[in-house]
Amino acid sequence: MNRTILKKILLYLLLIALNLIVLFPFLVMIATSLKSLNEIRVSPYSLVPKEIRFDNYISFF
Amino acid sequence: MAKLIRFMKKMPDKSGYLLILPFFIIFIYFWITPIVNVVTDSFTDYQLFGAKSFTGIDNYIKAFSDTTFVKAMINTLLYTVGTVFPTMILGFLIAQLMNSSLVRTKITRTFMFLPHVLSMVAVSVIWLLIYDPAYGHANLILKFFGMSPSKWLQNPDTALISIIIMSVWKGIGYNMIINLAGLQNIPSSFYEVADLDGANYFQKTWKITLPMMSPTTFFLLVTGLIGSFNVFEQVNVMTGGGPANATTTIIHQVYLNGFTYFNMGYASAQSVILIVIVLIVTMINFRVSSKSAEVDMG
Repeated sequence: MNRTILKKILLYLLLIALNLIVLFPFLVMIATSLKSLNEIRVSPYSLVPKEIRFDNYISFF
Repeated sequence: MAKLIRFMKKMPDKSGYLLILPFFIIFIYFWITPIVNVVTDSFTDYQLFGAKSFTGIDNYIKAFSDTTFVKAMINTLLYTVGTVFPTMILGFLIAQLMNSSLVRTKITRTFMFLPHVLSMVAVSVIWLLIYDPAYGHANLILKFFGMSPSKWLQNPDTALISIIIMSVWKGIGYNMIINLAGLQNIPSSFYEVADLDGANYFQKTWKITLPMMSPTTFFLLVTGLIGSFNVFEQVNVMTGGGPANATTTIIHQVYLNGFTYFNMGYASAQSVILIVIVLIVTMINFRVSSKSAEVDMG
């Protein structure tokens, strides 16, 4: 009984890791779409934008 | 008279041909004509806005003595080997994981399949951001593992590998779904019998799963090989042929020669070479697979 639970936890961890790898480019895409053009270049290593701005979407419409 | 009636009865019904005629008119006009045109153009010096004149096999000699095109063929081969096999192996392993009855995988499957839904151009633009040497995330990940940052697409040594990584990422979801369908088609009674005989996991995989999966694997191999030989979008968007032709592929050369330099004759010859390569590879595939199928039956 304990072994199945351990197996389940391991499998779920594996699935979460896989999903993170696969979804990472999508996170980058969404984060970049909310940044200003300057911020893409200025703060290189952040997935979270300093201020969320919808300029890109507004100019799209 | 009796003879004539017997003859008429033996003959297949002619009206059937009339019924399938509409399809064949469209098929011949839209599929066969372009192919014949490409083959005939490949023997001429056809420029897009000029007269054609017959030049024999000059275009083919030019193609094989053109170092850029030879480089493109090598790149296409490397890309194919580097993309198809990792994608198939990873797709199979992940499908095994998804097929486990212990965990719920509905959401995971959706996420894994997501890259396949996007268009290649959109995906390429995202990965351009990730691969950027100055502010991309790929270098951050390298730094996290204590490796020195790379220039990715700007470096001739790593440009092709970068494109391969992206294509594998995009292809895994599709391979996983097809493999999963194949796995779920295997009757569970096989595994029950194996369990009774005391077979372990690897024996079950090797003796039951892999042989039963051979049609699925074959389908993925053939479509994957053909798709990889025709690689173009990611190359054109991400590198445009790459630093010092490091990532140029056959289709990219065809596109450049045909629609940038307007050498339609030369581009046609390159296309014909690609068609021949793909045909040979597919025929080898079918030959090998029919042999292995016979072995399975025996």
